[in-house]
Amino acid sequence: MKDMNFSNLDRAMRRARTNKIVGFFTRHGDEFDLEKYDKLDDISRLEFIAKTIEDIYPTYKAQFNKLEGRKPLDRQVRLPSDFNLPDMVESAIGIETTEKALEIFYSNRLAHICRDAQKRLVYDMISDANKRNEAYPSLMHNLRNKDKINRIVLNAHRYFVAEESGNTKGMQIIQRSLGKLGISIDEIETLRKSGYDVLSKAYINCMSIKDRAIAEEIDMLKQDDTQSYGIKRTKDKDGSKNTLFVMDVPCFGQMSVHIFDSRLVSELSDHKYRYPIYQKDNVLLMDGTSEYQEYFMYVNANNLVEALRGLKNRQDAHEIAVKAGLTKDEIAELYSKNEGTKGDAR
Amino acid sequence: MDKEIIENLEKNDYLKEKLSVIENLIEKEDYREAYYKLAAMLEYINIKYIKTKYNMDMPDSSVINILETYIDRDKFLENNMQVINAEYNDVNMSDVKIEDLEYLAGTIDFMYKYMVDKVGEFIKK
Repeated sequence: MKDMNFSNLDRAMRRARTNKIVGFFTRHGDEFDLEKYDKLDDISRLEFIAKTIEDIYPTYKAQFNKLEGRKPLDRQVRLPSDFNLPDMVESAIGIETTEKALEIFYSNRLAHICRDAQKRLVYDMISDANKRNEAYPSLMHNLRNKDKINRIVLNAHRYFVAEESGNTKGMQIIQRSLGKLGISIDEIETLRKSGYDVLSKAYINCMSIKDRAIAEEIDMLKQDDTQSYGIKRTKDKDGSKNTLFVMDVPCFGQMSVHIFDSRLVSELSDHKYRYPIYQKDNVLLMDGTSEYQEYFMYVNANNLVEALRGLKNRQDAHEIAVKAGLTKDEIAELYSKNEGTKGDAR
Repeated sequence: MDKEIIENLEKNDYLKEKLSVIENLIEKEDYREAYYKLAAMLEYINIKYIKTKYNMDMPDSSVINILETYIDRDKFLENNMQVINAEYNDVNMSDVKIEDLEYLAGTIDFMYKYMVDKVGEFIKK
């Protein structure tokens, strides 16, 4: 039997997944237009987003399990075999700030699913072109140059967005930028045929849904003095600075998303989030717990803060506090120093 | 920045003055500050336009609030503010490129022309 080419198989599977995402947004993309989306009530919006992710991105479970698999066994959150996102989000219904947090988190995830699909389309197009140009090294793209690939992805997105708006000058500006990156008009057309423009529109709609939900959430949280949230500035390894909107969503976990609107950022200037970000790569914001976390939850609520203060690992302690549904003041207690004692080392 | 990109904005004396400050920043390669100034200009243009067209004040002039104002009133501006919102999500403010500035400036110029066509010149020096 001829050896199976796993690289090609992987690529075929990747392409099938991308086509599924494009196909979905080709058929249902207009349901994310704000005017249509606004006709849904808050619960239907959440269910719609969750169902979309379940349909187009079922690999989230494998991704979640992979991330959990890096932890010791008793600290892993295990997904039930029949887990699905639309059922899970139902447990947030009736708690407005939690519903909104899930809308933020999962609309952001949808936007990133679209962007990742765009990256795959660009990557596949360029690797095909590289194969054709193998005899002409000067025409080949360096696929390892991530910065360049990201610029192509962003500018191709801008091209279709400008076209959709009828912004011909914008299209010309971007066409020039793409030309400098070695992308011709024919290649832009190749991307169009793959559904790149459909993904651009979906990305924009999902980002609007996310940012609007953040603004609404901030308004609600300002009225509710019991929840822990705020703004946090972080730095990536490459030195890039990030501004995050972080919220401890009771029982669901810590949610952090990028926030860009300078007005929203300044609205939160007196709400700095001072706690650690315990999970940067979270795929799911959900109300499941690990055996280890459950152990703490059996502790009498009055003693929980004390028990958590005894933990050396602040991130673990914080995560358990949020999963246990502690309030803003109770979480703050975790970080306060005991008078007359050595105090909490944290 | 190519004059063609900002040809409509430059027809307004007040905005032209602001653009010269941005051009200076670009010459100094302070692209990040130039980007913030362009974003502030867009916010200002929207506030003025909404006051002129709908006689509404905008105490909260966040991108999302401006976008909300256009929903059900002006599909073109609603769509373009959505584009701007996504753009702010995309640009790495630690590494703003000249093409980011050109695209934002071109989009503002495009929106401004549409506004002037609708209500006439609405920004006075």
